[in-house]
Amino acid sequence: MDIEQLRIEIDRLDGELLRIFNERAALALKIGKIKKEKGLAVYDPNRERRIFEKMQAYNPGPLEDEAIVRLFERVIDESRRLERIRTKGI
Amino acid sequence: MLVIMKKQADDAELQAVKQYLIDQDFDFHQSTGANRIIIGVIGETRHFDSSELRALPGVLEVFKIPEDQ
Repeated sequence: MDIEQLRIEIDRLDGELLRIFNERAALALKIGKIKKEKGLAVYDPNRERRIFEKMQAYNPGPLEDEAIVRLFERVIDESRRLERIRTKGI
Repeated sequence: MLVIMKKQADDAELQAVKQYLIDQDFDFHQSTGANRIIIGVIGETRHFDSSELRALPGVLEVFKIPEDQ
């Protein structure tokens, strides 16, 4: 494969990531709504830690475990933010 | 605003800082480095008194981003 073909493949994967990020966020919002109804906190450090641990355990590479944690930190930060904002008025 | 955690800050201290920020209605981005964690705080911090945050266990320093001139 040449650079152009590889970039087309990356663009395709970026589209998949975009879809998956939003699908994940929609599920996080559903959880946020349930948390709100049950009076549970938005921030659940134990759950976040379990996600990091699981992702590192399943990480096949070439990304290092530390990089996986940094990527998921951002995903989780944004999910938490969305949950907090969207459940504020409910 | 940036919160710089001490190198030896433990999980409980980090969680307390994050909970404090959430209680103050801030969002944040955690960045885990090789030996230190930095928390980038998202929100309007101009009039926020950071002394209480700076005093939390595990916090090395809190930096407010200067306003553009």
